[in-house]
Amino acid sequence: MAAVSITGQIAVPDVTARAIRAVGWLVVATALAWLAVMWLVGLRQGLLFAVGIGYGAVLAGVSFGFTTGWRLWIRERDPTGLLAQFLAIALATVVSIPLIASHAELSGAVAPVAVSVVIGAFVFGLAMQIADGCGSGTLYKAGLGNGFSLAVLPGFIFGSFFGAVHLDRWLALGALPPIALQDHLGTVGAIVLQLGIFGALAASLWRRRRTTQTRWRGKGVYVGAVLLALFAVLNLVIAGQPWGIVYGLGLWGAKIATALGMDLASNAYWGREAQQAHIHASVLTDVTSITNFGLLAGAMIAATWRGNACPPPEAQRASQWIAAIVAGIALGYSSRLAFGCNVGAYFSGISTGSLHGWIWFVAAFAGSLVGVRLRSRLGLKG
Amino acid sequence: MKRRVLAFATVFWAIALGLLALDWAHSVPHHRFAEPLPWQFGHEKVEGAGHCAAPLR
Repeated sequence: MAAVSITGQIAVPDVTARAIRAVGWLVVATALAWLAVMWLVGLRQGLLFAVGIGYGAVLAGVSFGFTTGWRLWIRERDPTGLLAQFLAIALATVVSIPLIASHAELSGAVAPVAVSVVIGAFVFGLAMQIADGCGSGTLYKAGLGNGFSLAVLPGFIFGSFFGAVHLDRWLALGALPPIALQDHLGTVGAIVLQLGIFGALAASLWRRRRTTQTRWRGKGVYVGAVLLALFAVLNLVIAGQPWGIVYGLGLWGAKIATALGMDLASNAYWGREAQQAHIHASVLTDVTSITNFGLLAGAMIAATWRGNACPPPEAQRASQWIAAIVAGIALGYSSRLAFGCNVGAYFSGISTGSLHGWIWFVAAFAGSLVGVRLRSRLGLKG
Repeated sequence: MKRRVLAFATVFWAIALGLLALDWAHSVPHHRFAEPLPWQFGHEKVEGAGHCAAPLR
């Protein structure tokens, strides 16, 4: 059944009758959940739940791994993960930017170019290497029962909530308005520029590669990249906005804080009319939360199918558990300062032409260079 | 070890589903027939959806 070796290589899944039965039950449970969402909330949320299932199935099915892709380049000079990420974002770019430019009802993940983006993305990139998971990775690994991710997730939720609470103070450090490249270069200009940057980066990584065999075998990860791009475009078409993760996590924190008696009505972020409405409505009505729930279900099904639904623990010592909790808080808090995580800023920001997505990528990668070294110091595996 | 991971996953899902049920019970009732059209593309913009990249206005 084991599909991941000590070195992290992905082996061919050995699907047993027991695994098939477990997958069957999970598919039935997910289908019932989908019907419940459709019945209780509506068709749009049901469709977004299905898109979330697709995200989770792809991420876990091909071990896509945003965090690991970066780490394997930094440590082993294996460009596979980064190349797959570039492919996914580039494909989403080619469709998303023209759609947004021609349809006013669709919005990009276009955020201010702020000092807080640089600081937040650097800290996020560092912390995601300690936590061994970004927004999507932490969420789905927690759903699989990974003890380390379960220690990271609560901090992530409350960090994201408090990051939004303090966002106005961080923006006071200095911020330019949101910059969409297509507004300045035109649709074709923005696409050509972005594809050119991805092409140049990919060529540079390929020239400097030492291996391509550390984790991924065959074309699976690239097929996963194409599917992620497809789901991202569906997300945009259905929700009217691109894929995001951490808004949902912060909202869950805000709802818990409100239930515990915290008054957020006067807060610059959570006190706004739309956010107050979200806090008082069910999370099932929130577009980001519903794709997060779908992602959890899809990842559970795919990981069970592959036989790696019970990931080995990554922490043994008290210091490693403390690092998990601190990394979770840092991930959540920093992702709000940076206007998104690897999904909301890096994937969706860049693919919808936001300059802040590129700044996020550079700052987060610099943070990951530090984070990978810290991970070794902490004695964390992988 | 596998049993412990399964126990963690079970606890996670039990807490998650419990919180979802509590949230549904204590939230403003949702009128499902007042939902927007199934997809945003080609329809009038529905304002107010939250996103982590949305600027603070």
